[in-house]
Amino acid sequence: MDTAEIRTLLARSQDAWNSGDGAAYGACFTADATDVTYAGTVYHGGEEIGRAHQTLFDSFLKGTRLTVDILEIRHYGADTAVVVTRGESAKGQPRKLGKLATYTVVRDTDGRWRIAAVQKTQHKPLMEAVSFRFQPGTRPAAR
Amino acid sequence: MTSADTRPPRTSRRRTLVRALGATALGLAVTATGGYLWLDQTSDVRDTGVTECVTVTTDGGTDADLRGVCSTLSAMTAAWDRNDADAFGAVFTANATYTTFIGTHYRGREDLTAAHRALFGGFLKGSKLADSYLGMRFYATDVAVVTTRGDRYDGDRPVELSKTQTYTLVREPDGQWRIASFHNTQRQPVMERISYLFDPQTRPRAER
Repeated sequence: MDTAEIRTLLARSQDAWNSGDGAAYGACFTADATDVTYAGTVYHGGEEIGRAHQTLFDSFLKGTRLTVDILEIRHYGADTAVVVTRGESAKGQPRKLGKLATYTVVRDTDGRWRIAAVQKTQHKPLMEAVSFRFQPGTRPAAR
Repeated sequence: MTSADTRPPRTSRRRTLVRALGATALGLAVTATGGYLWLDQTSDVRDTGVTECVTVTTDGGTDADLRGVCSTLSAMTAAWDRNDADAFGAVFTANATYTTFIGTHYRGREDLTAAHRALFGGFLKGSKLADSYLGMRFYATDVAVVTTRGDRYDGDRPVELSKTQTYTLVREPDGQWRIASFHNTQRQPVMERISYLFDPQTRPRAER
């Protein structure tokens, strides 16, 4: 039930991205949320996240679609979950999902699930391969 | 005129063209490098946070919650500084996820502990952790989200911390706060600066 609602929340943020709707994107976040982009910029609050993304949707991200593949959803208590995804924003079908994201989602005061925090990182396969080659112990168990 | 007579001027014209192209390329390279360095040097963050966890701005939670979260985070930093993988892993929940700045994703305490054992004996041997706290907020009664800037270092603590982190901590049934998820990202100052230059609206309030 909650898991379905969380999937719906992420799908809604995806739809907002795909239609270039910054306000709808920002509305998926709590008023005090943080969004750390893959460039390491920290946006604070649903309103700021929405406004910044509207600017990006009108320029750098114009015409891009967001692909999100949910790797796992873990619940902590009744009102919080951590969601890990692989995703990408691209014009058309992305060749690979190069960005890892961790979402912390909460049931907000009005009962709706919203994103309280998200952070994204660009996967660097070459650096990772070097690390695994020289220190095999750094390879994650689940592959 | 024979073709032999026309060759020298054509060669010299070609040489002039090659030189002009070379000079243009060099000029462009110098401009690009200069531009890159300028962008890089003018891209310092304004919100550098606080080095003392207990002085961070909080939203929700009690003083005891703040102290509990900070004590877990300082135990993590202390474990890193001793290169103690087991103590490092102990501050995470059994099912925690840990995403590094290169996008490697570890699932569970055992996985991230084993990886840090390898790292503390190799790439990260002798390294220390620098943290600066940006904010801490509480959800429900047992969840905290903490944003930080940080870096690993050898020798002197760096002034500028090159990475940004989000921690989600939960209070477990034994009353201890543990890290349920950690996500690390390397700042890309030039990309960020270009975005602010072309789209000033993308600059966060905290960075104005």
